[in-house]
Amino acid sequence: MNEDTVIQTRGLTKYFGAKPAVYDLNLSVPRGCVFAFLGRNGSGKTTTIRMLMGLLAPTRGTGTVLGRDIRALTPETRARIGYLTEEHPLYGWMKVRECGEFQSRFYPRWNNQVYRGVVGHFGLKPEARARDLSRGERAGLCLALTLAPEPELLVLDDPGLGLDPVARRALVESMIFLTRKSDRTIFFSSHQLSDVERVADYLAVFDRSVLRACCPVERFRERVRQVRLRFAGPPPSMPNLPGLLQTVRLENELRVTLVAHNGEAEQALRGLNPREMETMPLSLEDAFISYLGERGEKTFIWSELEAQR
Amino acid sequence: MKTLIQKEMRENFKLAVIGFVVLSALLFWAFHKDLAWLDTVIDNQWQQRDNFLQPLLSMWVLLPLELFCGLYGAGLGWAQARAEGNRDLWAFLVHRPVTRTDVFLSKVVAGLVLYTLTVGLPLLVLVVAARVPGHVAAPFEWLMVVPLVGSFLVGIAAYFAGVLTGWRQARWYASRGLGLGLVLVPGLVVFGDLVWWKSLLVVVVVIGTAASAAWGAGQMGGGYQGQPAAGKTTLVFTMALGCFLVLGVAIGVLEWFQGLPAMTTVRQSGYQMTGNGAIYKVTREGARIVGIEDLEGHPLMDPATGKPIEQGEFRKRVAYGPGLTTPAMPMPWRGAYRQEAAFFTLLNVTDKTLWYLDRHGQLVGFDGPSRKCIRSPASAGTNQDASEERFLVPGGSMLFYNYYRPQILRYLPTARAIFALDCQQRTLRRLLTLTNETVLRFEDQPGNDQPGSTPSFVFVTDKAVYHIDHEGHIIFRVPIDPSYQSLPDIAVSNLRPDVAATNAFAIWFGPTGQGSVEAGKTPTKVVWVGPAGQWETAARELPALPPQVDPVAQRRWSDQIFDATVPPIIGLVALVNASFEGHIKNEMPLAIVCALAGGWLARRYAFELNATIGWMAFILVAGLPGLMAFGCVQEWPARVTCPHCQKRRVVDHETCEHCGAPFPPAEKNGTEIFEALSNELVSD
Repeated sequence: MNEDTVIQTRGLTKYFGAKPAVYDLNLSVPRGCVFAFLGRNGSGKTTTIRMLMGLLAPTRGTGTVLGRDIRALTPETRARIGYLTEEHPLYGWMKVRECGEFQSRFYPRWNNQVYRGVVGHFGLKPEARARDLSRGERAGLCLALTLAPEPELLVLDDPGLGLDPVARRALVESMIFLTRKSDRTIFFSSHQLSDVERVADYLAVFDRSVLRACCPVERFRERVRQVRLRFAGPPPSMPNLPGLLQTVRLENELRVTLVAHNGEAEQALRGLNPREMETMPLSLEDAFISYLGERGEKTFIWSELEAQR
Repeated sequence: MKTLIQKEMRENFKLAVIGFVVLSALLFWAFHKDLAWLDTVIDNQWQQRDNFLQPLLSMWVLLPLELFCGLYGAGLGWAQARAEGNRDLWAFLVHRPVTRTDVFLSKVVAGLVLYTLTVGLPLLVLVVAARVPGHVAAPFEWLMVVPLVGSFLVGIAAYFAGVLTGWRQARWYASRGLGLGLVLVPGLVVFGDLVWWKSLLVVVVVIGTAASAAWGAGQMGGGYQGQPAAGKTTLVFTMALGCFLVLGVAIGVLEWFQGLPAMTTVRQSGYQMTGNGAIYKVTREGARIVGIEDLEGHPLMDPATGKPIEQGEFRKRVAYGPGLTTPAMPMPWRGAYRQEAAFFTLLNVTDKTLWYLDRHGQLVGFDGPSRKCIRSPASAGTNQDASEERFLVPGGSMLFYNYYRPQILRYLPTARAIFALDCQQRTLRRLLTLTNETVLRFEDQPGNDQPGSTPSFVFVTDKAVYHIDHEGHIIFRVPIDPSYQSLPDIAVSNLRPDVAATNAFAIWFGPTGQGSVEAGKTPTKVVWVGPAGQWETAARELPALPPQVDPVAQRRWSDQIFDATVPPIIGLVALVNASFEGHIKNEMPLAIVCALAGGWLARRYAFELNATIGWMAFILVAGLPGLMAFGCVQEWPARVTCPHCQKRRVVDHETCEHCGAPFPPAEKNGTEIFEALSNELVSD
């Protein structure tokens, strides 16, 4: 394994019953990057993370994290990995102060300044019981517990899940604050595309248990395009193009969302002889939704809608 | 690990407090129930023969204690394991720089410390109360704490079973609880009162097995695959035992629904004498008499009805008499540490004083109201004649009952003398001294409380059978013929003077256990004794009895089904015990079928050859429970159609087990965006 790679998988697969939750995952995460792991609910993100953390045995395939086989992560390796699960688990009977004390005894590199900084950032009172904290406060406390050991690799499973925008922003700021100062790697799953856009270098997109995209964030946004074609009359039927995601037919217009490959699609679109052809910029969120949204053709032409009825 | 232990202690402290309060209340209630029973005894209203005088051995203490230890231990273990039942909380616990073994050990150390405090402290108080004079009006020995320790250890086994149940992941949800079945083994062993070291051995083995299985489960988050070999082995053993118990319960329920008749009981024959000295061969099935014949084989007829005599009518005519048991057993049968009679026997209660004969043969008195020991009858006011004597302690059937009889006079033999104890007068008189003879057996239940009977006593030395009256006068002394040494069963029949023509007694010398296999080979001898003590020198020899019918051969269909489910490894005991031969004949065919089924399953799921052979061998010795355990512990992979050979293949192999083709890569849909990543892109 390349020393610059912190996570590597080869054909990693997990079945639940006869249904593959993760299928043939080949992934390499470079050291020092912020890597976003995206996908719809149930697409296999959490399962992948749980396999990487050694909490779930893969059905087949292999994987390494920080150079160690994921089936046999040692305590020393785990000490180098900070892992925050999506439910922000805590022992409810512990106070905020006790949570820190408890966690600090396991990590020789525990940084109390970081802990206090994050806890303070979320306005947590040291004597408050964990069970009495709000969801955002729990997330903050969990993040503090995960960051204070100063891990080389931070694995966050949907850390913003269920948080209000203010708490989520605080969480992201904490992540940025702590991880941008050294060669630490963050591997996180999220549904918050704005967060991903702000912090991530790379992204991987899971679609129905299969990895469909793995590239720099900017490249993803570039490759998923929407092209608006205007016609003098009703638009022609859309031919089957490679990388075609969705087509929307309007009265004199065809809006085509596709994954661009070497200009082939553009050439095919020009072959439809549009009066105008315009490539529209897409935000990451729009690109992502188009990428994982409904496929096929939608029509908003009244006559065709009437005919369909 | 210290931090984790502290966390576990803190987390489960409430549970410990609740357990402590509940157990203390239970023991307090039981102790006072025993004291209330003592009041009944010292008021001379006691007619039953139960263990309630020494709380350490009282069933009011032991039964709730064992149930509590089992339930509390299992509950505590389960609660500790399920504390991180949420998968994210489990991840929070184990994703830290400690090994899973450390996590397991910290839970176990904390759990066992809490368990020990919860259960041990109330038990310690109970033992102190029993030990310190003035609390319990019965003898105390440190060995009496053995049942308490047994129950305590059962709780530890239950604790590990609870941890296993809490941690185990299972496709079939109910199979998670199978581990708890393991607790029944030490529970039954302790409750069934084996010899203490055998009990201890079983309990320790079970604790080790349960602990290993729980540790293994913790290594893989409750899964089977990937566990260390020790964890796998003990888990499989535990599951097989649990399945065996489930099968037993299922067959029991089936029987209950079917309303099957009671199990066929042992059929055996023996001799009995009526009051007039006539001998009959009586055949019984269980306790029911099914045939009464004279020695010529004719059925005994009732003159009043002209039909074969009724069971009740026959019993009225029987000449009863004492059976003579082997005395002074060094440690009673099966250890019997839960029985008061293993340690002492209550002889009598007079003037609120309880008189005991302890297992060392010493007479001990306790003042009922103050519950203080007044030592020997001598120090309590009896004459000094035999205060230092060691009396023989009754064995045999009396082992399980207190020796209590309300009559005043008690006969107490030593090896060389017979004494009469009058508890009312607090006197101990020497009735008879033997020279060159040693008392071997004696009547343990003298029928002196029978209305109109003359107090008398029968005992056997190495040379003769004696019958003496309450003054020590010999009614008869019949020498034992050396040829009778092989006939250890000795009994006396008291003939009825109104119907017996000449004789007053009959002495029986027979093989051990009438109707036993031995009885089928050895004849019984009878010696008649006249009213003046004269005896017939020529004993009457009775024909050998038929051996008892083997109950295995007459078992019901449900019993045969149950036999078939018994792991053949148990049946292999036939190698040392012939009575199991019938079982193993039933077990092996099903075990072979199960082993073949296991082999078929292993092949279907593409097990490696070694694993297939191993499982088949295991199922062959473990039978149907083994096959069920195989089904329970294995995480069966899904099977999908191989696109290359179109056969079903398991998903957990890298290549198809039929054609060797690898799994195809994910199908592309043309929207893939892949680009080689490098850390050069990373900004800042």
